[in-house]
Amino acid sequence: MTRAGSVRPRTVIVEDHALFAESLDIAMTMEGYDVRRVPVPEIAVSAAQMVAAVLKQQPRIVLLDLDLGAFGDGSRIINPIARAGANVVVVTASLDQARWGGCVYQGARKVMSKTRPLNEILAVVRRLSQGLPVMDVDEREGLLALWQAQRRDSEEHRERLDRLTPRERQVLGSLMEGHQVKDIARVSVVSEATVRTQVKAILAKLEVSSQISAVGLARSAGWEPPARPDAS
Amino acid sequence: MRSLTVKNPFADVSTTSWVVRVTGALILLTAVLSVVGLLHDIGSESAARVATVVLATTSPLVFLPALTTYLRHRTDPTTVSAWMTLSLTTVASLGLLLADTGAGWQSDPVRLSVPSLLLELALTVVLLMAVAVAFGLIAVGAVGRHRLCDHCARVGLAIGLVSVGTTRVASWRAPEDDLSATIVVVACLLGSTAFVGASARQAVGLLRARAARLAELQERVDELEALESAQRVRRHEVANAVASIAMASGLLHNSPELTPQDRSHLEEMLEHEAGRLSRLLSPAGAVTSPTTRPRQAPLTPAEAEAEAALEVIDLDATLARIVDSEATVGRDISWSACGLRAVGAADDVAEVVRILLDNARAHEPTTRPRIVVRQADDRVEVVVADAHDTAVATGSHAARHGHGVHPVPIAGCLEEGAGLALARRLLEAQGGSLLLDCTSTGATFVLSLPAPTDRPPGAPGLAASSGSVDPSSTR
Repeated sequence: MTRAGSVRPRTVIVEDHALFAESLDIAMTMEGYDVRRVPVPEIAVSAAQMVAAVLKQQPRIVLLDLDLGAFGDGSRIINPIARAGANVVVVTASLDQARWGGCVYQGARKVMSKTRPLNEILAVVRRLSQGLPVMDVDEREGLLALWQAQRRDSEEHRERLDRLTPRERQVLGSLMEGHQVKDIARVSVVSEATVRTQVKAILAKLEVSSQISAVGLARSAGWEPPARPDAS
Repeated sequence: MRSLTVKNPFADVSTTSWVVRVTGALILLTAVLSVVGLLHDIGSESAARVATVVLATTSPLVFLPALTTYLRHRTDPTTVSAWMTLSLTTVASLGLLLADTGAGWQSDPVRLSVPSLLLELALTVVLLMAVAVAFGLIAVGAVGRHRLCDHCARVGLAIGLVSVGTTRVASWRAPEDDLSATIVVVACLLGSTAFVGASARQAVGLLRARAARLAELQERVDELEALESAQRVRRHEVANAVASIAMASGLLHNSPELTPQDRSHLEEMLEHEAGRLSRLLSPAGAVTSPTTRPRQAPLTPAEAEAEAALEVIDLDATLARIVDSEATVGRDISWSACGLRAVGAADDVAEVVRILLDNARAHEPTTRPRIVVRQADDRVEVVVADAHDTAVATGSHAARHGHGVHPVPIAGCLEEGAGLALARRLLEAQGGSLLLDCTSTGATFVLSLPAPTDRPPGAPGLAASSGSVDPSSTR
């Protein structure tokens, strides 16, 4: 929903929860911002496609959710949008401070919880539109330190993930999407036993004992499964 | 993250595995030497002596796998008993073999020397140990929780034990005694056959039981992992719903300058979100299923969760929200309200329709998708198609339903990716189905859901979804 009156900088909302996005949209429009919404596709698209959709709106400020449905982790598009000159404010339901630090490292100007009052979010946008800082040094350093500590752990995890064969990466990617072994076998047109053997190989290489741990390890390492065909 | 660094227990199996391999190689060597000794000359003490020495050395080793397995997996008596049985069989069979071999040199003075007697004593001790273990296994199998062998295997084992004793006793008598020689040979053959047969029967039974148990456990693990994954998604959705409701509520109460249109729109969305939150938090299985689908097996957690969300959906209200939502981002959809209702989970149906719209656009990006809702006997069908499929508009699509419609995926049309797989899974969880009709001129998705029964919407287990749309409205 876009409303007239471009008194303040153009703001783009990238949010897959309709009520939250609509509330932000209405509140910011009342404040005089030129608000645009970028729809989050229900099917997986590439980060480049998502970045292009955002930058097409020529935003000055981008309010970005981190968990974007089928698209996945929204932090992937922070850096390209920030490098294009837009101020990225992450508004997320995630409480993972290390993840917040990663967003700051990627170039986010501010990371906020969705549970913060609307006025606080509007205040951040207002300060950004006025060119004022929105995050003090201590907060920034604290978040970055948490992210770096987690990064050290994830480097080891990444080394393990690098041991996977292309097929094992596909299987792990499917597990990350929530598919069960029998579903993967059916879609891949192979037997369940074959997929189970591949899962065992994945567990052995990642040095974990369950599929949940393998998926958690991949997620914590920021690992992305190989690209799939666009058609879904 | 601690759980992620847990060492994989499968990595430690290699030690046990190597013990088993080395022992197996030694046993094989023993058997080969014994057979060589037999084939060369029963009376030749050289080959038999070598075989005896090797057997006496390696016989205790056959217990190593069982011991290692026991130390490694104390709580897995099935594995231990399987190894014990195989060890027992090997020792007993080789012992019988040597008993036969030794029959030819009973009179040899060397045979009566102290080292030979010690060797014979060691072998006998090993065999007696094997017999003791066999009795122990039978006793455990008879009174314990773990059934080690069935009736046939027990009989075979008993015959083998009797044969072992008979053979040993008979082989100590003079070789000139034809009766003793016959007893030795017959008992040897009978004992070996019975032992090997019984142990093979036990081993196969144990391995089958183990494989079945493993498959069952694996299925449970899959279920639990899928449930955990769904719970994670649910937690995320709950957090977002709460934040959204708080924000919308604050906006409604603290912004008097809201236009009536915005206020009404927000209130409608707030109500919908509150309903969604309520369904997200409702206990699994608390609501009786409104469908008449027969149920033989108890509900799995995932099924119970899916059924808990079932309701009578006002399809017009659900689709209106989707069409509105798509319109706000510049995506036009052709749709007319029809006043039909279906049984399912409103949120899941909305998600499926969105997935189908995206796929229709992916198939034909330049056209405007259309949605048609129609009744088909006791089902309600929601048809999502790109504009090329004129059959949808004219209703002739139903006529070719039996010929041109196929379950997804269809080769050469659209591959079933994560989106369609998710859509199909969501629908199947609520008794629905998804069909795809793909032609050269367009793609049509048919979402089928059970029509509601005659029960009133307010009846227990039938939570009528909120919101209504004038059936005469067209978008």
